[in-house]
Amino acid sequence: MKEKISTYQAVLLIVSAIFPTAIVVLPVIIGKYLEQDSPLAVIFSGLVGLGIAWLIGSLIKATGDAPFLEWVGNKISPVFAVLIGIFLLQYYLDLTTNVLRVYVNFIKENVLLNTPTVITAVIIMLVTLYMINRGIEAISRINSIVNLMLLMVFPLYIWGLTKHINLHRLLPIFDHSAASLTLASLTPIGWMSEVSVLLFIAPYLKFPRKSTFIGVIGICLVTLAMFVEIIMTLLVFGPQYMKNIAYPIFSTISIIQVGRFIENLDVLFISYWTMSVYMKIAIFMFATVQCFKQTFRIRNDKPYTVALSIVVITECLYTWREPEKLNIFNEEGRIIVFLLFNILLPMGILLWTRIKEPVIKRKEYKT
Amino acid sequence: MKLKFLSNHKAASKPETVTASSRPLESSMDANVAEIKRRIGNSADVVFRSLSNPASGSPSLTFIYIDGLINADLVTQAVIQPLTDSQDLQEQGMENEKALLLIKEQILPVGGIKECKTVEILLSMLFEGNTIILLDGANTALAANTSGWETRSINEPTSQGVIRGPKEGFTESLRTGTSMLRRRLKNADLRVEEYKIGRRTQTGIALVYLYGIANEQVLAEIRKRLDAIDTDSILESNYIEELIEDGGMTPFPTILNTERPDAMAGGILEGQVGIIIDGTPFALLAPATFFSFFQSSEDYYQRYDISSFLRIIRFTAFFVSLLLPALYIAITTFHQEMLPTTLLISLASQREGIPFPALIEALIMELTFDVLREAGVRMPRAIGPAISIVGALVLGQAAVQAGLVSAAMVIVVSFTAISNFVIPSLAIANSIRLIRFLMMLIAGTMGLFGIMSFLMVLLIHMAGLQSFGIPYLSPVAPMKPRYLKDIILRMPMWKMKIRPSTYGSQEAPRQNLPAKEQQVSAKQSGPQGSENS
Repeated sequence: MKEKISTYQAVLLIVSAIFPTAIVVLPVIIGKYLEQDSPLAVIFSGLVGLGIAWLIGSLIKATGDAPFLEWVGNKISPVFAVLIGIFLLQYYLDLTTNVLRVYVNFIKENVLLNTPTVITAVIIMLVTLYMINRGIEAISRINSIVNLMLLMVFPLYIWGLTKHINLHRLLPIFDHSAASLTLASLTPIGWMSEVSVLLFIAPYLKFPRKSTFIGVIGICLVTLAMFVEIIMTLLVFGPQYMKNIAYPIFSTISIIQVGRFIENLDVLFISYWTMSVYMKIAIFMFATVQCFKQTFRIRNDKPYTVALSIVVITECLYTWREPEKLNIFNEEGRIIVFLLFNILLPMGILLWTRIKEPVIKRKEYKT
Repeated sequence: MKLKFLSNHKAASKPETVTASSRPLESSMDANVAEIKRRIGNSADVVFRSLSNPASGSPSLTFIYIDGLINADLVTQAVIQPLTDSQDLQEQGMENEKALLLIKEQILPVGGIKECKTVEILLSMLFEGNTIILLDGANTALAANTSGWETRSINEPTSQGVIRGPKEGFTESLRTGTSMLRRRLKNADLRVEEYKIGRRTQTGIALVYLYGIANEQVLAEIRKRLDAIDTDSILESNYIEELIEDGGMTPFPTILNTERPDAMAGGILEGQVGIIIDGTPFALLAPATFFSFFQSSEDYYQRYDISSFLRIIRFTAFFVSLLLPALYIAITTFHQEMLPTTLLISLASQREGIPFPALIEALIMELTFDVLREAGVRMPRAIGPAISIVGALVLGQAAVQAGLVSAAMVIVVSFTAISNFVIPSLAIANSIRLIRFLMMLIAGTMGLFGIMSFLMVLLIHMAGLQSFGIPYLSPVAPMKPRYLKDIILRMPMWKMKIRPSTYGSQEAPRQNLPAKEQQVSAKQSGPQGSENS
């Protein structure tokens, strides 16, 4: 009885594909440009994200439940499909590496200070490989449980911080220019565009035609969670603190105390976060494997999954050795890559099929 | 997968042949007796009794039975005596076939008479406690059901006791087991299919289910797996469990075992399939989900509020049993900043002077406890209390006073051990025992990160597991909110109106009246009315 991914599970997969790294990387980047107006960037990027979700959903509808690259090969050209497959493969490998490196850096800086990075990276990839081996259905089932944990953590987070809130820290509002808002929103838009991973998950969905709904709800949930996180950080610490610390969310949680005996609740959140990042890496590693499979038309992907994991570990260890370089790339470079692969490419393919199909139909009618 | 492996193995090395090829009975009684004696050897418990009286005109007869497997009075009164007293049988010149029919249909008052045409069938009937009747000149023997051996009386289950609820458990007798289910499920849909598995043991196995409720695909899969078993012996239900379960190398049980007929009846009513094995009081229930191992029959015999509370306690105990020593090791070794200052100071002062790191300390204590536990199971009951004293005083208090382990570690290990016993199913409690050691080693080397990583591996492993096609974590993953009424909490009976399709059965109403209507009608009719209803 092989089960497919339900719509609700798919929504949570989208949340896990964006939220875990967005929550640690984005507040600092947004805060640098917008300070106390940071929530505006979240709302703006969320709105753009809805547009991207619609675009990806429309493309999946057009594929008619077929694997994305196979459909591109049939509709446009097999050579073009292989070509964009190779580029997408590079993109997904790079993205998985990026997530892995953010995770490894966090563990190195906060949890296992003396453990060599290579050990941490290998362990994470081994766990991820096992997850991939169990299949996307199993991943989506566990992802639902992990996200349920978030539902438990979030009310505790808001309740625990209420006594530290100072509304004046949000003032003055609308103090920044439209240019700052645009600059602050670029990176979050890039993150929201990760909803495009649906292209490779769609064949495993119970209802692929609901992809637009899945993407839209997923983006809404991420936007809401990001909004709450940023606004709470601002209310508790203020804009200056937010843009100057590496992991603002963990800092805000660490001040929560229940009575005089429960403190350091950041451990609870770190535990959730550890699991959710595993989910994110597994989702993108799965997309990488699917992309590879579809590009090179491979049936047994298991040996290649190991090979792709080795590539990811190698890139993680040698390309992004310095955390500063990764931060600069996340802040300035990734938006171009996101724009190209998650927005322009799907848009181009969708437009091509929309323009080309009526022409073909007209020709068929004439003949 | 496992069954495939078994079949490959079978192909590679052919199993020993236990029985010779099928040999029909001959018309000569002496030849048949000689062949049977040759097959079973000079066994002291096999009784051959020949009766012949040429003067009376009745045919020569030989009775064969196994002493201890038959009811001696029944053999004498219902088999031998009617045959020797029968006037009809003394008729001169009666054909053998006619005589056999006469014996079978008119003379023998005992129920369950079968014909045996081959030596193999004859022997199998003999070993089941039948009395074999050989008639000289007939190439067919009769087997009269005279089985009657000493059995244990029905007692309270030893491993699954309850405060409120039925006090009877399965016995080693297959037929007693099926009868206990029949008494509880007086329904024509209750089906009992019997198998004989084990080339040497020929163990009787009964597949029990409710027709129309148990999922046909699940049933077909269980039948297929039972048919595929090719082994020489089945001595206990675990043989069957290991041979048919899913999951390969998983530490988690995917088939539930129970000593309680009421638990089995409850499972069958929810669409599970029962497997009763002759010779053991532990029957099996399949498919089983992870959450079914946390349900106890008593949950339904007491009020829903206390049952729900106990369920929460059990799940908490599960996590404590799995994680507490690992968390203690991880926190005291890697993440001391997580502890409140006063607790940290207290722990630090206790650990001062302890020569071992927390991991070694915990491993020593856990292993000691497991040694004590194993000793407690194996040793004579009279010595049990002495061991408890040795365990509690010598290994606990003395070890702390000697500075070998810290008091906190003794508390952690004791609480973990007690928590392990809270889990109703011994099968899942045992799997946690093993996983706990692995978890402790990981916590000692990689701290909280290691624990979370290993938890992720465990979770994903469980999410991929299936029990006869049913996801192991259902109805939580995949999430089916409608079926969560009897998982973490036990909702009131009047809230659980439908039979969940968790085990693959069709969702169907179990109560016809809405709860409010029931309550209103009960109130309106009063105590007498409710009795009548």
